[in-house]
Amino acid sequence: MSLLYPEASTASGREITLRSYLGQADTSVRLVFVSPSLETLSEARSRVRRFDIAEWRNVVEQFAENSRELDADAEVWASTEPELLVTVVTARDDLDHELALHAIFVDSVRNLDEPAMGGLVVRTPDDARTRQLYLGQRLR
Amino acid sequence: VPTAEQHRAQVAANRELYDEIGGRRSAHPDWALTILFYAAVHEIAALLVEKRGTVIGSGYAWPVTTHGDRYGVLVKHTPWNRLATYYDNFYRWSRRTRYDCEMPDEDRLRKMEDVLERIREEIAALG
Repeated sequence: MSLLYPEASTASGREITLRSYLGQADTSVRLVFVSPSLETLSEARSRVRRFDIAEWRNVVEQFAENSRELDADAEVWASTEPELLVTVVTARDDLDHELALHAIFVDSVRNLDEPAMGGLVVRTPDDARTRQLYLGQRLR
Repeated sequence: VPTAEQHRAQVAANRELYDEIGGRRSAHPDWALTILFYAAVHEIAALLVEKRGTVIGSGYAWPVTTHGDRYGVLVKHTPWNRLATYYDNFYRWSRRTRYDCEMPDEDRLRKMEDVLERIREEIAALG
């Protein structure tokens, strides 16, 4: 098994992430276990992408639920293209409110092996109307 | 690996550059916000240098070199969660300006100055 490449062929299984603890600067390595008889590397990549999206959806649904009390009137949208994002559309345009939403987001990614950073966008309704490309699917 | 003092010197240099290009009234507000973001990165990097034991104890390798790992440490170590919130907010705004061509207005830059100050105060409060 080579660590020169981010993906290596071994037995079948699900995605794991390895991290070095040698005390030196390192690069996270993602191992994708591929069953050569069952799938191509391209199919394995698609499987990992589906895994990422499924994991992301859990984060977004948890965020949508946990932010309801703070801002019941806000819209929450989830998108996976061009990147994994949750967009909150709220009329409340003040910094404390924006940061309170980010605090809930931080709490929602806490249990991920690698907490997803910067996945929350807060927009006003006017702003959102001009950038619908990034809104995706409405959750509430 | 830079020392905490070197990171803090970089914070000061970034603040100086921010003022030089006009601060919140800059003709280049996207770069103004980016400069503030990197001041925030260096504020947090200085903390992580001084608390490297906590970083390693949280399961991260030293030195921390990526935004993702820096954020991960702040999320995993509960007393640093407020910093994670500020960093997350700053990172997304820096991406919105750099990659999505969203020009921050004067009010947004004022808010990001506020977030940078909150980061500084939070680190000071952590001791």
